[in-house]
Amino acid sequence: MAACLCILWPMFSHAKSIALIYNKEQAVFVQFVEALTEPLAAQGHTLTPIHLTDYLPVTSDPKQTFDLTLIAGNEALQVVRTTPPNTPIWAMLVSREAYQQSLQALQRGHPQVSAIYHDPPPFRQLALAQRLQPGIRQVGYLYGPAHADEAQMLTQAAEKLGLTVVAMPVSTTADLPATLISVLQRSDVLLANADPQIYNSQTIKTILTAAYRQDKTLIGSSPAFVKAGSLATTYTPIHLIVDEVLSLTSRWQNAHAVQLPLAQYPSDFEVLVKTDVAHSLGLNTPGVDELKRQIQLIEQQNRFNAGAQP
Amino acid sequence: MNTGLIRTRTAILGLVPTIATFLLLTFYFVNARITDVADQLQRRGELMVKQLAPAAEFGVVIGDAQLLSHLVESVIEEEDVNFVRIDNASGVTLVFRQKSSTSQSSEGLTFSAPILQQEIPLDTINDALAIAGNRAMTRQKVGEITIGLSQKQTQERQQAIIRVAFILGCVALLISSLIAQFISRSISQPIQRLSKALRRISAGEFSVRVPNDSGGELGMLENDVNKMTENLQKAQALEQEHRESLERSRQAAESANRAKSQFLANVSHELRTPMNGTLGMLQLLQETPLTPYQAEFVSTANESTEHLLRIINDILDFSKIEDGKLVLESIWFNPEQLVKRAMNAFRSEARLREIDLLFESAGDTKDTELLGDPTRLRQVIVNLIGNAVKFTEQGHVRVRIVQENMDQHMQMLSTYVEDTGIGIPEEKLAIIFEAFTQADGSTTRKHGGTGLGLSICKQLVAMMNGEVRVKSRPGVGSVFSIHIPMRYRAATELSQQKPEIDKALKLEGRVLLVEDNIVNQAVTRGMLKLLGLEVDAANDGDAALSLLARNHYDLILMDCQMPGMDGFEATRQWRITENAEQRYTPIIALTANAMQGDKERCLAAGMDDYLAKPINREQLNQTVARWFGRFNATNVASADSTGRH
Repeated sequence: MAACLCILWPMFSHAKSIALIYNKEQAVFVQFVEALTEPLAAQGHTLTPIHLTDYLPVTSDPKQTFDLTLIAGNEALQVVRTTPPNTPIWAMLVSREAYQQSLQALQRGHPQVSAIYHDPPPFRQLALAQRLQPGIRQVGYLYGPAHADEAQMLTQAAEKLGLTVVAMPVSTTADLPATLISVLQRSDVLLANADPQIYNSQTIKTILTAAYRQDKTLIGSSPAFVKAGSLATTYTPIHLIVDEVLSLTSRWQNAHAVQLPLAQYPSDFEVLVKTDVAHSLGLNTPGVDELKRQIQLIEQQNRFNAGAQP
Repeated sequence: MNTGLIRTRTAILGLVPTIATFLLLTFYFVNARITDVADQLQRRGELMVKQLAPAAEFGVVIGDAQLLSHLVESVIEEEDVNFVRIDNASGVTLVFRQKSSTSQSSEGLTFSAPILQQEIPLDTINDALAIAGNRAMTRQKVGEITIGLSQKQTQERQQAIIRVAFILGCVALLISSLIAQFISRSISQPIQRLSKALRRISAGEFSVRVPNDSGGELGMLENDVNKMTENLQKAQALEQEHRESLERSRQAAESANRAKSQFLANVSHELRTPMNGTLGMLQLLQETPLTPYQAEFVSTANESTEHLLRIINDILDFSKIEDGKLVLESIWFNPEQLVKRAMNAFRSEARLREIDLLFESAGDTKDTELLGDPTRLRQVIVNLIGNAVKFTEQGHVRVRIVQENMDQHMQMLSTYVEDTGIGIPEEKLAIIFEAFTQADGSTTRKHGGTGLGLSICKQLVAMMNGEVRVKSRPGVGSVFSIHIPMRYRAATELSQQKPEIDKALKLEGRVLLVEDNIVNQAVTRGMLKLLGLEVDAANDGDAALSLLARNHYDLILMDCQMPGMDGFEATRQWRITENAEQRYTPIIALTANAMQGDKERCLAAGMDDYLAKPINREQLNQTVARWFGRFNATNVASADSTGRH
């Protein structure tokens, strides 16, 4: 009986044809595609992975019609924005900055454009910093010209947690040391963002060295930072993003049209702490699960407070 | 090296390899150590800049001179570090620190390393999600660090190494030379000891023993030397014993030989006394009127007796020569006369056997006299002629003398006796001069003889520094020759006008004959009476002295060996008595001891002349006549005045 229902399912469902633009050369996207393909098929949707160089030939084929275009990664975003499809676009594994910069271009193809950012949300990172070092007051922050709005967001988030942000812009690499030291001197913790202009392979060691010389910690902004010597970060691994995607696509089985949520940070996350650094700094940190739980609690409170506000 | 002492050699042997090894090792290790120290400095410099470069990265990136100064301070305090300089990528010097004690110009090594920015993967989404591993990064140069190291400390350390090595080397050398010396001494001392001992042993000191305390091979050697010495000592003792036994044997043999000689002398003495009697009686008998038959018998008896006497004389001569008691006289004589007189003895026999007896001479024979023993030379020549006549059946015997001047004083007298006799086989030529030998045993039976003749000849000629030669062909004949070097001089008148005293000699006077043997007394008395002398006889010394006390005598004939007072004692006593009375009577000794020394004994006892028994009538006549001529010139009636028979 169940088998019969399964066979008849497509005739009654509203299965969607989904195109996924990605760079098949990069392992992270290949993983993402592989993780998504089977569950989507199980939901009755059709996923067509398209390497970014094949994007134009495939999408310009009149025979190929898609209900939704998924974009994985900033590179794919850059490719798609040149010739946006006339389907709803949902970007994954992109930075908030890149998405914001491409939003207008993408909306030329279809008004419904959304994203799940890859970078961790500032509030979550601040909450983490506060959980690890409850005594902190000043949060240092360096930002490039393109990230000025983030500084603004951060300041707002910090306020909610009773923290003050010491934010300073870094216009060129040459300015970085002086600005960095200046910020570190005035803050208790330095919060990193995913701005490669400031935080890159060349600069990270200097930033970390400078911070620890002044007995300050660096939080964020990805597992790579933690690996390099940052104290801790929150992050969303691929399987959680996949889960988030699937939870939405599953709702489309009974809907005619695709309904995308607002662009947002991933709702679920993991916490990563470099215990060696914590020990070196004399921090007595709770376990990562506990941290995650506490952060989730704070986020819930924050959403509640936000909802309570007019 | 080969001529060096063992001590030097062993010392060199011990030292040279040690020194060579030591020098090589020292050179190697010192060199290694010095290189190590230099390398250490090099490595240290390289390590310092390598380690310092990452440490300086942050300070250079943030351009913090103070931060870098702190970094550099700790480095500059290190010994050997002269200076440290850190430049940024633009070449601007951020820090330069120099040790106050050193100047820039001081010698040193400089090490530089780029200060590279360390990259940590962070840029891609892969990095962000820590999916992939580390990717290759290009490292950007942010500056350069330079460290100057002083070589002063290193050089000091190297010098210290050389110093220590030198001191250690000297100590090692001292120790090894002491050891080498000890070893060489431990070898050389026992060897020197051995050598000293061996020198003493070779000098015949067999009681020497080497202390056996060296051990090892030297100990074995010492042991062997001791054993050898012991054996030598034993051998010496044995040899000594053997020598003593040989000496005893020799003495026994000599004593036996002396006994034999004595026996021969005694026998000959005992034989000659009766012989003397026989011969004397026969000669006296010949003076009496005899029938032709009787005369023939007496003559034959006389010959036989003379022959027997010759044999006895041969034996006596041989015995004298063997004993070394025969002493040659040195008298000037005329060789030709001597040979001719020797030949005269054989004239009658040669005539009888119808053999020609010929004489030849060459050289200066007639004009010279030679110095030698004419009696013994005559004996040799007589022997050779006698043999030649004896062994020649027909033909001739030719005697030839040749005198050749050797120099101003010496002449070689060669006498050849050639016969046409039976000859001697060649293989026998070598043995005919040996005593008691004749070429053919049968010749003794046929021709008689003792076989001593040629042996005596040879020995006598050898005593005269001459030699006897023989050439012979069996059946053809033989030539015996003697060759004797002798001093010579021109002939004197005296020798040429020697008075010949013959049997017709007549003397007047009174003679005392002292002789214990009645036969001899009778013979001598007969011969003296034939000379016309008045003779008294005494049987011993006492009787003689009593006669001398009572009567006057012109001459005394004194027998030496007598029972009671002997001749010597009687002479001595008579000379004392006579001396007191201021008168002198010549005494002629008569002795049968025909041995060397008799004549001297007689003269020493005070006697004036000497006659050997058996008394030959001719000799007696000559001697007595000589003494009558000397003391009783008027009593001598010369042959010229009395005339010949």
